[in-house]
Amino acid sequence: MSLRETEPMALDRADIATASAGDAAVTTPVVTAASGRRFARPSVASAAGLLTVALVTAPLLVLVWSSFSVSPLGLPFTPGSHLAVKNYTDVFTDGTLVKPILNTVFFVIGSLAVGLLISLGLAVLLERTNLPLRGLFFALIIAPVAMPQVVAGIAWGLLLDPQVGLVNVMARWLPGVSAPGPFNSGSLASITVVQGFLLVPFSLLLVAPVVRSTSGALEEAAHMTGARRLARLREVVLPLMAPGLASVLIYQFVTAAQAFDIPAVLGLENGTKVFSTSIYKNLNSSSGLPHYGVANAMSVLLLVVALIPMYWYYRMIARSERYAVVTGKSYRRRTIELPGIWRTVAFLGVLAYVVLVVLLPLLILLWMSTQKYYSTPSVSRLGDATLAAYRRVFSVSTFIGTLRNTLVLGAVAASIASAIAVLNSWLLLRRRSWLGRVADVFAFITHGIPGVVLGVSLLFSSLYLGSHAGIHLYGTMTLLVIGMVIVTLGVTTRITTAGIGQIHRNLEDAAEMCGAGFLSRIRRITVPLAAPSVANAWVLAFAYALSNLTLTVVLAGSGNRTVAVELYTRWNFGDVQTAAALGLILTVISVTATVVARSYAARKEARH
Amino acid sequence: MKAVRLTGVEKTYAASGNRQPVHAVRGVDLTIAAGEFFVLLGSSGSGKTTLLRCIAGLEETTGGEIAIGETVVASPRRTVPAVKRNIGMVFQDYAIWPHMTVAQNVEFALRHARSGSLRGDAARKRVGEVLEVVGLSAFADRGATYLSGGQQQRVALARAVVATPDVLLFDEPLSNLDARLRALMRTELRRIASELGITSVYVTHDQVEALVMADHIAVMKDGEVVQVGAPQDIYRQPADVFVAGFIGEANLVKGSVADCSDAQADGHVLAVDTELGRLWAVSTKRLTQGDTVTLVIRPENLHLADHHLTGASTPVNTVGGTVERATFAGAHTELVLSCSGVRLQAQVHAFEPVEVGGEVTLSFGTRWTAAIPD
Repeated sequence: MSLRETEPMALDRADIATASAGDAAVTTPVVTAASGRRFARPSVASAAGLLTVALVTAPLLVLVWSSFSVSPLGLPFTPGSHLAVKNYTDVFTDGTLVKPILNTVFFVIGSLAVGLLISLGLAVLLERTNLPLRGLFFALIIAPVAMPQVVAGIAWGLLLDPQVGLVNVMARWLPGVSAPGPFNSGSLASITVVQGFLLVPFSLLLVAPVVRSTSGALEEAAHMTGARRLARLREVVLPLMAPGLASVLIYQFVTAAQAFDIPAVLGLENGTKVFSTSIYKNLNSSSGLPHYGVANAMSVLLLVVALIPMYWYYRMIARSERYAVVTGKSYRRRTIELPGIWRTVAFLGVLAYVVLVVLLPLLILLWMSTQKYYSTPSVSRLGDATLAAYRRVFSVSTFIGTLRNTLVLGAVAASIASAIAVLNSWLLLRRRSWLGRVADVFAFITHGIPGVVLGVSLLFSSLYLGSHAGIHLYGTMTLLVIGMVIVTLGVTTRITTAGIGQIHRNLEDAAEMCGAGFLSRIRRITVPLAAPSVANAWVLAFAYALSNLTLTVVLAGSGNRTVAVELYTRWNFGDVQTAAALGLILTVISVTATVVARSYAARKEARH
Repeated sequence: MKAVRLTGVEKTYAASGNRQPVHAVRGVDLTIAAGEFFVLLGSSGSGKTTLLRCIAGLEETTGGEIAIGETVVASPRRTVPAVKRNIGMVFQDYAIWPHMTVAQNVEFALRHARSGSLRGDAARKRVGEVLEVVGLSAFADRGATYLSGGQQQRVALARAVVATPDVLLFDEPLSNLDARLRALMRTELRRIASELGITSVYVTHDQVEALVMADHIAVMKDGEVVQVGAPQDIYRQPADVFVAGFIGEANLVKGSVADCSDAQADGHVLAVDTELGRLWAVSTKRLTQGDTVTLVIRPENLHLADHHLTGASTPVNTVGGTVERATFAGAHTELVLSCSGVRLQAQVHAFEPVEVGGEVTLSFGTRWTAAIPD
């Protein structure tokens, strides 16, 4: 009669509280929420958390506040300004805004439809069928993630040029189609489809796991009930995938609603405006004074449209993805055997997609950057290839400065953002304080702050600081770095949280028991152990800053020109060859950095 | 080498959301003598690990006082952070840093030592000495993850002791090892701790580990210490029914005191009337006639014949019963017997001739029969 055996072995909450980080992560961090150790609270981490909240809220508060500021000069915070709702009434009474709003609705719905349907189809073909060369196709379709959107925009502008665009030239091989067209690079349909294409790589990354993890066993169970294929799809497969697909939809909705690069590069010249480019146009009016007030009020509206779904999305994935600990549990996949002819058709379809959407834009950039004149690719002109555009780029005295600005911006912003991200993750996972959770939410929703809106916010913030505190940030690198840190906080924090979450808390406790102070522990234990994720976070932020057009163009001054701005300016002046050359240079830097960081991370990962 | 004194230590996790506050440690008083090996024993959720982490400084106490030597390290007024407590700690899952070699792991502790950072040749020499003690000299430059579980545990120990801490804490260090290695490491850890002479506090849920290793054991339950004592004393005289069952196997038989002698070498000798008839037992306290008690009869103290106990200075208990079940277990045979309607477990030598259904007479000594007052 052993009493010991009947002694309940159930885990008591006190033990859960001290259990491993992994366990604790699964049990949601409620238990110890208020039990924080008062002493030795590393103020550095708390400072990072507070900084996160401040970085995100301060510019947006200035934005909202200044949207109610009306002054005779049209500029907020200038003498004679007062609070009123005039900016908002202007937005709604100004008839010119109806078109951009309708355009935006079409653009968002259309690009989401194109992007997500292609991603879903590709995910099913690449993850679940016996399609040949699945691995290679997957890598090729994902690769354009590293190509700056502004560069992709230029490539598509070249491909869809109504006169000499390669796609149009080829389309005219069909009977009854004649120049110009049939496609127009500046039309709403074009920018919508191109934006849809650009949504594919990241959507595929998000959708593939959903498709992959839909357990084959459940489908088999449905199969055994004798349900027909369509019924199986409708009643079992789709409901299983619905939550995953919904979260991808929300995330990409936010992306599309704030998209700026493609509409700016392709649409503005042609007069096709969406909401984000209208804001930009109001700031940089080609005729007359900038309409700061209207841009300001529109920014607040766009912010609301993007931010609310983003918070919704945060709540949605909070329980599933973010606290998911890698279990190594493998799902049993049931491969769909495509019948011979369909396998060929699917293969050719995917091949056509890869050639048209992945390879052609790169090739056209290469072609255009090595040609003297704007021309359709042809064998006869191959002999005219010249490196003149590249020579021109490097002979311009300001280019080296611009390149240096870009690299410094990327490196500094990525380093600051990664450092804040590591501390934020630590605050969330180890301290589990309210500040950690608040900072996490604020960092996360930065994806819901449209670049152009943040640009406007920082613009007004710098104007305010300039006129009220004597701190002049407008046109400086500092302002760009601040902006870039803000927009990359979300993605970096997510990656470092996943990485640090994999490190058992005892490894840090052991260092603490050795007498190592907080910063020593972070530097010598946490960061080296989380090196793969820190490297990934850094390079993503770096590549993002490198290719960002919205912030850099809105905040551009003489002292902080970046390659992306240079590129956009050249394109607008019609210097296509230089723009293409710059685009390729930017792409090469971005791809190189990504490949180096990824292989470093992979090597580290393999070692542990 | 310093003593550790705990006075009314409390640890309460505050309520949050719709959860009640959790009282993990409730008013623990303990004195751990300088240089001794002290074990905190309890099941999951008993608060033993939380208490250890309070001593370490990894958890903040919510009440009471902890002193190491003459220094108060935790009290409502003042809390010394873990990094300043000069405590070494060995963790359950080793917590060896995988990105460092064995020597680097150990050297890290020297670099941050409270007694002054040690670097360069002096540090290398000291690391070499400690690796020698734990028997890992040959592995100094090996990546820490290329070691077996037992070796990693030795690295953890080396790292914990290298900076000569005042106190050494162990958080269930052997629970991830297999049974053979666990038995080996038990004696090994104990040997090293004795050699170094560091005050050690060791948390475990394994009663054998506690009995084998400890100078003193504190048995914990629901955040409280229910008994403190030397292993033999706790085994022979458990303070209550919980301890009796938690440490070792026990037959529990209720009865009422008929007579109580004066204190003798083994305590007061009692005559107790039970369902098994009148039995003799010992008690640490004087009891009076009519007090109800629970007798703790260990299965291994029940014998099939009384000849083992002839010449005992105290009376020998004898009960008769029927064998209900006999299970051969190698060195001994486990019996389940029915004695006047009471079911008893007994362990007898495997060579004893026992038949299921047969009648047997069992005897057990008074000294090994503890009476726990209800």
